[in-house]
Amino acid sequence: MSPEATVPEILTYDFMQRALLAAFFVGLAAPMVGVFLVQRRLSLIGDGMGHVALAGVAVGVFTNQAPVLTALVFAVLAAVGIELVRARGRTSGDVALAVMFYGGIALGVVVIGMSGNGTPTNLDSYLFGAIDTTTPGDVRVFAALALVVVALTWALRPRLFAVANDEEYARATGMRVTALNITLAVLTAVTVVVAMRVVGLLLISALMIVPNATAQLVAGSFRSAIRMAVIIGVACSVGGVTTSFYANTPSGGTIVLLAIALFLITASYSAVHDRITGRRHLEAEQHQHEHGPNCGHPAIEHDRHVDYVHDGHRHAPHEGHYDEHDPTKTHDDPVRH
Amino acid sequence: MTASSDSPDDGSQTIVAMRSASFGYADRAVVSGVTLDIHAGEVVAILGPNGSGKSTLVKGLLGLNDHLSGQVALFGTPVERFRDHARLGYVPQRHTLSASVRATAAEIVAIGRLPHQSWLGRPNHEDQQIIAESLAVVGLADRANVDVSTLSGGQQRRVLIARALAAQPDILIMDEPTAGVDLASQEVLSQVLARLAGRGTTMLIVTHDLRALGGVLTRIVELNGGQITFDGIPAGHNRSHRALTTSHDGHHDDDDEAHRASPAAGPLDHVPGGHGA
Repeated sequence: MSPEATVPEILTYDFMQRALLAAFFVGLAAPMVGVFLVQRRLSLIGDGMGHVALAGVAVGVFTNQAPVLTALVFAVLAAVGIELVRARGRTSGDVALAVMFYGGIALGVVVIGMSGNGTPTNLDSYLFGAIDTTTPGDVRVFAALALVVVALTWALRPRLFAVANDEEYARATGMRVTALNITLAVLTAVTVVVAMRVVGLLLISALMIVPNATAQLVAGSFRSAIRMAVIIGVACSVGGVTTSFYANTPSGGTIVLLAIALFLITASYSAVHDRITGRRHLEAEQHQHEHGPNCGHPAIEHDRHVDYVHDGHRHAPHEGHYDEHDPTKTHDDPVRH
Repeated sequence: MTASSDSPDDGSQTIVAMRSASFGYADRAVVSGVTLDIHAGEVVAILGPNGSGKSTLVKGLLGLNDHLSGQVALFGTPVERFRDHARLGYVPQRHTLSASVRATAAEIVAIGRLPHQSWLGRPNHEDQQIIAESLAVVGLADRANVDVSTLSGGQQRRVLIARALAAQPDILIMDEPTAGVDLASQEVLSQVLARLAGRGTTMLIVTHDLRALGGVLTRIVELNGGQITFDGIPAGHNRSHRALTTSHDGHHDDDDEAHRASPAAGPLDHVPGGHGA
């Protein structure tokens, strides 16, 4: 294909078009699934599934099957296994998972070494991602899988949230907790495989977790945090692939470094912001009384919150306490919310 | 004569019916031989020291542990076949809500609406209204959009009560709602419970501290070592409790000698329908 003047150079290469498409799907699906892993404090589970998926890739390469397909089978089996081990709740479960994960990566390395086309470069491309390896067939499979992941995660979102938030309550209300947990594990496994080409099996977990970590710093609700994490995920994966094309760097590492840079910038910004607002806002005196509709203190509704007139000054609810809303007596900075 | 007969007996619904029921974990019974009926409109405290099996009893009703023997029926349906879980409003014992991700009070309370929603459904206008009302009942209407992890322990407890209320249950089952919260929050929690009782809400409250529940209760069931040792009206419990303490400190302000000898035996006669069915 000859470069045309109207399109950017990056889009004139077929393999780059495919890589950018695959990056878009990964950036979309990974944070959506990842938020529930963060919520359940299982941020590293995707990493383990990547290890097992490598064994699947190796078996595919060795037996001349499509590596994407064999990786998918291995990762999904690992996902179901992980949840069953976790559901049994034994202390030995932790060790069982370690055996599964390291067994997976060890098997992968050995089997790929045994196969004829098992060059170190080949192994690297699966572990860390390589944009020029995505075939047209891969892109179609990735697109289909990513759509299934996104649709299912969206449909199950309220219930996955409920189970991750309070498993016991979810069980008491008749939710099928184990089935939902296994579904989340399988969705994670599928995402790992979709991301295999672009981000690589060792780095995919970062794209599930880091955009969510960034969103958690600034979002005010679960809903807005998911939305923000998906935007960050897509921006980092598409931006990372673009950067790796021009800078001639490995795509997976570039994507993850970009995501981490964004996290660090956001974290510093929010730390500075908190210090400033922390200095500017003034807590009301401790009192054993909680204001409410019938508490006897006149309520003034304004700016999306309610102030209560308490002994001549105004108390505004802020987190678990009250702020003074009339700072002139004791403070000269305006109260900020 | 009994607390439960204070509530209208004419067609008053039996919500929980247990006959010699045992609950526990993996074949080990923690609560055994419990016979207990709870009717609509009752506010029952399940009282007992740590390890007496009171949490195990309510978790058994909710299907969270193993029902080992005896009969248990919820709304007339044997617990094994009971599927209408939304009718039981569970408030678990939690000192803090999970703070691993941001979630507003309204988002947590919305979980209570899930049993009424289809898989693809999202909260509609009516659901939103019920969520807002539930938060208002527990006095947190002004905190609906606040991240729950920034709320105080007592406020978080009330968010969990609101979540249970949002399911529009026929009975609230609360596990230690007032334990481990500061005095101001305990006061507000008492007000919330009184408000709910005033609205005729049936409640089953596990507790080891009756003070915060004050005049709300219509009945007290005391567990000890996994078995019921008292079942009756709060006044009767006071008498038997006082009899216990007087026998220790020598004060004699109780006229009932029988209670002193056997504080737990007499009030058992109050078990409503305990020998029937």
